[in-house]
Amino acid sequence: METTEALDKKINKKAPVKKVQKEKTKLGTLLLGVPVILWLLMIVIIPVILMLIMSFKIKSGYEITNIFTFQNYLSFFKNSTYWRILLKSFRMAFIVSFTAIIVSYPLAFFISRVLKKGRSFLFMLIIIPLWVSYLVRIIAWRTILGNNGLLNNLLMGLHITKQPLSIFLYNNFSVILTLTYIAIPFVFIPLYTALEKIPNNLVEAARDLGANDFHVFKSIILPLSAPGFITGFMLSFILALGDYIIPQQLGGKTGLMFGNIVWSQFGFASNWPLGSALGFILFTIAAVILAITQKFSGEEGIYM
Amino acid sequence: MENGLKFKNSGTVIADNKNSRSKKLKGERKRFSFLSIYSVLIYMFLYIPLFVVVVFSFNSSKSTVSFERFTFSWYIELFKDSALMSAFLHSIEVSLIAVVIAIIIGTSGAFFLVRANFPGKKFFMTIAQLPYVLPGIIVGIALLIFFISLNFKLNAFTIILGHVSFTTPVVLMQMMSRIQRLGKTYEEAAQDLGANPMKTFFLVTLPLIKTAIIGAAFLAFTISFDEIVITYFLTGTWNTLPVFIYGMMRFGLSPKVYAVSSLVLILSIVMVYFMAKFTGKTEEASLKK
Amino acid sequence: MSDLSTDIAIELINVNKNFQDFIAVNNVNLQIRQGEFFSMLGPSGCGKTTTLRMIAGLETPSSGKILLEGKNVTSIPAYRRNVNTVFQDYAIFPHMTLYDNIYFPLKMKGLSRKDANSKILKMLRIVSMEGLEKRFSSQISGGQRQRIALARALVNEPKALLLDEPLGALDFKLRVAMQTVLKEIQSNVGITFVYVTHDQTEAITMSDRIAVMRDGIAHQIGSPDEIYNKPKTAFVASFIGEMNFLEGKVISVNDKEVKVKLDEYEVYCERNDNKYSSGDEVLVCVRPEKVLTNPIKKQINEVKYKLVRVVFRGDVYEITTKLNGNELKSVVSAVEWGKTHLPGEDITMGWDITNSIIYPIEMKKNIISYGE
Repeated sequence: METTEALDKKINKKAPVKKVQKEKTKLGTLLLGVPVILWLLMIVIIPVILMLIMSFKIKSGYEITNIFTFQNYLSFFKNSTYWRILLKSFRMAFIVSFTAIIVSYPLAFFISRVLKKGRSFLFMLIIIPLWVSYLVRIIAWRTILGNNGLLNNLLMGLHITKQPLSIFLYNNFSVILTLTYIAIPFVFIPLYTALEKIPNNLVEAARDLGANDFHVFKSIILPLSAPGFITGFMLSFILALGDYIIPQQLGGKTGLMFGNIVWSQFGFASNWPLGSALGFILFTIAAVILAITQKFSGEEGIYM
Repeated sequence: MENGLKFKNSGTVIADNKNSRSKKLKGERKRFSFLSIYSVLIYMFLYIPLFVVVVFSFNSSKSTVSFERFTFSWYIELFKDSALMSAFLHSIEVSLIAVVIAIIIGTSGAFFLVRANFPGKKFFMTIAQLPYVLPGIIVGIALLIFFISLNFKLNAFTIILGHVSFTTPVVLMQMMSRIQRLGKTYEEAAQDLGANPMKTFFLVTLPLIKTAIIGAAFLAFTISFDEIVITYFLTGTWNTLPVFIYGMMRFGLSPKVYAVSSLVLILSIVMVYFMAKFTGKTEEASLKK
Repeated sequence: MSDLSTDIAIELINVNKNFQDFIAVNNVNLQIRQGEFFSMLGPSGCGKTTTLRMIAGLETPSSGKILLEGKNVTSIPAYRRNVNTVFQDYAIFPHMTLYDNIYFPLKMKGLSRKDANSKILKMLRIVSMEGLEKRFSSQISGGQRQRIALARALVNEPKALLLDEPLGALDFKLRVAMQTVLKEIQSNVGITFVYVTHDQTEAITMSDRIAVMRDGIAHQIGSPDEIYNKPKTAFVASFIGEMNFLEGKVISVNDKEVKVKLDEYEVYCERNDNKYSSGDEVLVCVRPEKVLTNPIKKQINEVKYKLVRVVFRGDVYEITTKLNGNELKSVVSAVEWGKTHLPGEDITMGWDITNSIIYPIEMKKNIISYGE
């Protein structure tokens, strides 16, 4: 046994500062990381790097030449059709995300904070379309919006119009509508989670201090659900910005988006280096948006 | 669905004097009934389009304008269409294999990410999410370039790898949250009671995360089965069902397209149901304290 | 202690544990005797649980040795050590019946269900849980879970049972009841118990010996009596029971006692193995219940302090007096306290030299005060 004096010295030498206890990782745990690291390397990192490399090559004739050049990026800035359509895609993605938030917020508020029963069931009902085939949802909207579609038939049946209107399909409207339809469940999840987390006693305390419903909403509910706002907005923005199938199916000639331009470089235009450059621009935009989102939404994962 | 939405107990009771309370309740009822009507409209917006697809799949007329007669014949025709059936089988094959691989990578990776400490872990986790959150077109072209530069032929194999790319993050996320909640105590208890690491895994860890694995598998399968955006870049002549349907759509929408869509729809809903059942079970039973 | 070495169950020699640069356990030396009820007591984060986990094999020491019955087990994994643990939240496997939970360690030993059956039933009887074995952990109460955890840990007849705050999750009454149950089971099975707790009353009432820990350091190891009456450091003195800490200056020192100037009074303390010389600033400590107010017989240590307040605590009065910076409390039975004094009055407070403990002034910062 130590003498009191020695003990005393030891005690007084340092009062250890308590830190987050981090253990050394066991070898077995490290081995478990091998598959996921390989996957990340082979299926994510290397392909993206190859895409980046491809974007610095150039297509001449039918050949892709191995010279390092910025020409594809330069042609993006020079050719106004490219960046105009990118700006247009930004606008459309913004409208989609904004509408989806406006539509989902009251619903998320109602289910998470007003309803007492059946919350999880109603939550599931919103989420189900998220996992229901993307293609089926496109088919559904084409059916409704088409010239011979349901909406036109309904309008004619009600004698509002005499002839089928062509304003519903093959334009920006139909693309925005369908993208919004797809974005709603995406936006709903983070909104719902953020709203559900707000402790009820905060609301009660505010009421107790004399706040009316409007003030409670403005100064408590709204600011505290802001992380959900940001996450939802950003996710739906990325989703809308990069889509190419919906514009292809419902956009006609006027409703094309940036994704279609990228896509065409791998299809009939077949200019892979240019397509890679455009793809990498899209990748950079999405990565920046994701980084911002992660910063605002804190520690927890933002995706589920 | 509508029953659940009717606002039955408007009693968000706030301690207050009685006069203002009855007034407030009236006000709340009004506002909440507005919200519930609004909600019903949104649910209709979400479900009517899907409903339309199912209804027209039973239409005897080829027109999508009006409903003529009820018929099953489009469904029968589906089963006669050998190209469609093989695309369907291809899809099942792709999704099954991709999900099995994703479960292995995702589950082991989740243990690694929850339990290992290394610098840049958060960054790693963010990157690992990318194939699922990035626009599919980016993943699609990146993988296409990757496969072509490896001189791979576009076939079932490339499609499967493509599906592994975005199903793995799904499994990873689901399993990470499960493993986080599970903690280490049960495994430590097993070791303390004489179970070696192998026995601990098979007798304790695995049974405790089993439902989460099954839930994640259903979710990943659903997503994989419907995927087209990435798959479209990676198909040669070997089709999956969504790619096949996409091809059918080029010739316009027909009751046959609706019929196959309805089947896909029903399959997805069944999958989601099982997923919900298993993930729900996980939380209720295993972690109740 | 060396003559006891033959029946030492667990020994820790210079054990250290660091988590990166955080020192969780700082050079701890312990000898736990066969059949003993040994407690590790300290505030949260003091290293008691880490020490227990190192004994269990769930944590490997950064340096030092751990011996079980004289055998070095430092690098032997948990599943090959013959000690079992009752975890803080019991860790009853939720996917097995209670019966299968108790069967688990026997199964690991290779026993068939049939051979294990009688042992399992016996354990269920010992913890009074017969008839509930077909249930799952979610279907029983906290106290019952604790019993199952105990049965599961004991069924293999381990060399020692390690308990990590096993009563922490229970409400007060159940805690007290379970203390008795634990004690009874221990004397029935005769197994060494190593018990981790932050509750001093629990440790004092149940243990044969206690190690008091803080910041990874074992401040004192001894019987509850020693810990209470002869606390080795100011931390131990303040952590267990209540204690008056008075500041004074050493006048003189001899073999047995230290004479200290306390305000204008002179008091005597028993010497301990710290070094004191005249002029040193020191802490003079005495427990409130050892302080007599207005003693009839003349005491060796007597001071006259001003009455500050009297608090009635039901069975006793707590008298607080003050002079300059020193505050001196006394606990007096209702019969003795005549209520005749008013705040501001001078009161004579006296105590015996055997109850008077002295520490160097540097120890002041180790005092735990609950008011803060």
